Amino acid sequence: MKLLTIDAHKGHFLGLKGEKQPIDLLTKEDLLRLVDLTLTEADVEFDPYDEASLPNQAHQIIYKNVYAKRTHLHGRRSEFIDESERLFLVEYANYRSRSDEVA
Amino acid sequence: MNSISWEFMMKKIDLHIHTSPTISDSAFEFSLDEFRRYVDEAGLHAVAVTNHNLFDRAQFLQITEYLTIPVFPGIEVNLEMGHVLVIADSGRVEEFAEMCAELTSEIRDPRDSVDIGRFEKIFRDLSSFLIIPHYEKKPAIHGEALERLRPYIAAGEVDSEKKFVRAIRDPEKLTPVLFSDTRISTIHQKNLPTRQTYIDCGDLTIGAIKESLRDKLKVALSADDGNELFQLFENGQMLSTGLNILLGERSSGKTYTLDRIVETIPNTKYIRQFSLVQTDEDDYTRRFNEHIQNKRSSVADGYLSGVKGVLDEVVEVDLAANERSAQEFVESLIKSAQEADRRDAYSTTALFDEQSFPIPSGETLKALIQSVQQIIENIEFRDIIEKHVDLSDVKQLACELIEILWSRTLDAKKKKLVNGIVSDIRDSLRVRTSATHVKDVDLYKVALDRKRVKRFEEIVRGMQVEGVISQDDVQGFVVEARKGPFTGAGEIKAVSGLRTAFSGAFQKYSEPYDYLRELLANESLSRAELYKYFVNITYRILNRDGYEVSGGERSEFRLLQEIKDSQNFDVLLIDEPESSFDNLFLNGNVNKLIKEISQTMPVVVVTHNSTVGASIGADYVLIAKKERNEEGLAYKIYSGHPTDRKLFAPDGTEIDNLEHMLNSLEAGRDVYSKRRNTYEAIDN
Repeated sequence: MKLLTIDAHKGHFLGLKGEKQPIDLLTKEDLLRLVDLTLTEADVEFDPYDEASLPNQAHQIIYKNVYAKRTHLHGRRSEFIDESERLFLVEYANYRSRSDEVA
Repeated sequence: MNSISWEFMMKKIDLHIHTSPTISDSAFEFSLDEFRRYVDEAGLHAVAVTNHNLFDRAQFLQITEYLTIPVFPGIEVNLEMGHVLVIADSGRVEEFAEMCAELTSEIRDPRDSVDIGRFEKIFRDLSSFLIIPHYEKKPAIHGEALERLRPYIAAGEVDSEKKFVRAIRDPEKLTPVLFSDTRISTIHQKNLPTRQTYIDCGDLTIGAIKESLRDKLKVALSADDGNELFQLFENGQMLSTGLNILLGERSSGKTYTLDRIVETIPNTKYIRQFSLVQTDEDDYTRRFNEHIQNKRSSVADGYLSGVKGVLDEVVEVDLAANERSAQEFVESLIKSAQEADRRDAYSTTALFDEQSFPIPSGETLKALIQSVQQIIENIEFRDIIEKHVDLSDVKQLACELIEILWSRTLDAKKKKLVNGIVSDIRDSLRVRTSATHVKDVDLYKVALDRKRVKRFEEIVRGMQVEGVISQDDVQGFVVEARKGPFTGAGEIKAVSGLRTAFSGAFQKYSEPYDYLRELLANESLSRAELYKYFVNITYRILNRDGYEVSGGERSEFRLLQEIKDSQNFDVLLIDEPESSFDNLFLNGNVNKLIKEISQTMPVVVVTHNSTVGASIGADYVLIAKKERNEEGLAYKIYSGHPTDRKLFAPDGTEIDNLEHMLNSLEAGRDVYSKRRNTYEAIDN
């Protein structure tokens, strides 16, 4: 699944319905969806950032930033999720097993 | 058992004596002569040399040659957090010296210590030694170290007669021993140590001493009187471990005697003559209020904890800054709309005016999970909880809540990441265009902050309404804690105990939030203390009839409080309570309380008053007398039990008990007879 593409001198992101959307229309909700996909989907891809193929400077700024963060996040997927599940982990394991026993 | 046989068997021992200045001591020079003087004048039957983590074999042998009583080789060991005495039989000097040398090499700093495992390795067979830990004496041996030593412990060292008597009476406690812990130095000590222990023991060997110490009945503070008396001064003057009255004419040395007790016993509570009497009304009221305030700060803190919680949240709220950013938001929005036709490639991107995701804290959910957790883990109310809810359901609830927490935490994390990207992109876009961008502001937070401040102001105003917080019965009086507003900056300053001025801030006192901002702007105020400056907590003492106490009653209350406070001390001294109080009060409350306290600690009351002196039911009477002899004036103390016909001074001289009691308390036999006749006549 390709989340970011460069096509016809324009940056695009994967829209809600799987369509290509110009990157200047990207909102924070779109960004959040892309973060989700990066964390959960195994086969996400991005066209590498290439200044020469993107003459529009606004597109350059957006594409470059999103691409850099996305690549970074992709490498730390499991760490990102695990950290969130450390809270009350001992209690959770305890209650889960004990309530399973009761059940 | 008669007193002669008792004395015959009782041996006076001091098994905690320092003779070498180690790294744990301040410097002193040891003197063999002073050691012998101490042994002779105190009448000791056996001693032990116990230096800090050191056994000096050569010095020890010198001491044993010089003294004529048994001297045991010993050492005071830094064991974990406490100290313990290890004392060996005199025949094991060589072997003991080797063990101690091993220990000495491991203690290189006063704070170093060995653990219990190492201690057992060094001294090997602990049952062959006399082991005496610091017990009710600092630094004490506690916890696992004490438990592991317990089978070998013969006695525990205490540091006062009061703790000695308490340990003797409590079957759960170790046999107590009281030793001098003195440094024998070349400096001639005017007052030789008086802390030693008597044991009923035949031959003075380590085995026999251990055997005696195992039986509390064979251990005492005095030779003749068991634990009723103990030696107070080095001249042999005794004092009761219960209630003592000290009588005597003016200038006969009573206050001097009390001062000497203060010098001899370090942890003494001394209620001086007239110290509780009111002299200057304003000053006294202020000091009285301060005293009550300190005593009862937990009442105020408990009540004010409500403000504390709300304050912690409101301290971070800056309404003015919120107002400014909301204003900027609206202005930038309008301007941006007006410039719609001037927009370029940067300002038309969706992210140019994008706002950040608000990030919820998750604290409410965490608190909920903790509450559920409490229901699951609570043991005290387990039965009633299980009666109403099925714990396996509650556990499932906890698991589901934790799962929600995880998912929300992950969500918040993702949003934070997105906010970071959005902010980076927005900033980069904005520097490249002249178009106005809409300011980023969390309007939800702005609205919530206003709500918070409103609630804070409601709570503070509610607490500032005058009223009673609590009423506690204290020794026949009622201590009433009241709340209300501060009526001036001076009152707040008094509560703060600081030099800083509150007059500027106080002008805004009626608007709690504005007032808070003023307080926050004052850098000399600690944020943690701010909660104290909103509501004025005051105390009133009411008498039995519900009226505020008079000056005299206030002094009575103070006296009862002071006596009660003495429980944390080793001895209580009261100098002439009658100088401040009337007889009815003395005979009722004071005598009763003194008597109660004297069940647990030595008390000395100096008095001329027959209500105190004759009615209190003392255990021991001391009469101070100024006498003229060949050398001039001498102060002497005669003492004995109240029913003894004669009282004796330590030098063996005697006086008539009744005559001196009547002289001290009733102005002599004649006056007493006349007064008695007068009362009888009225009665008839």
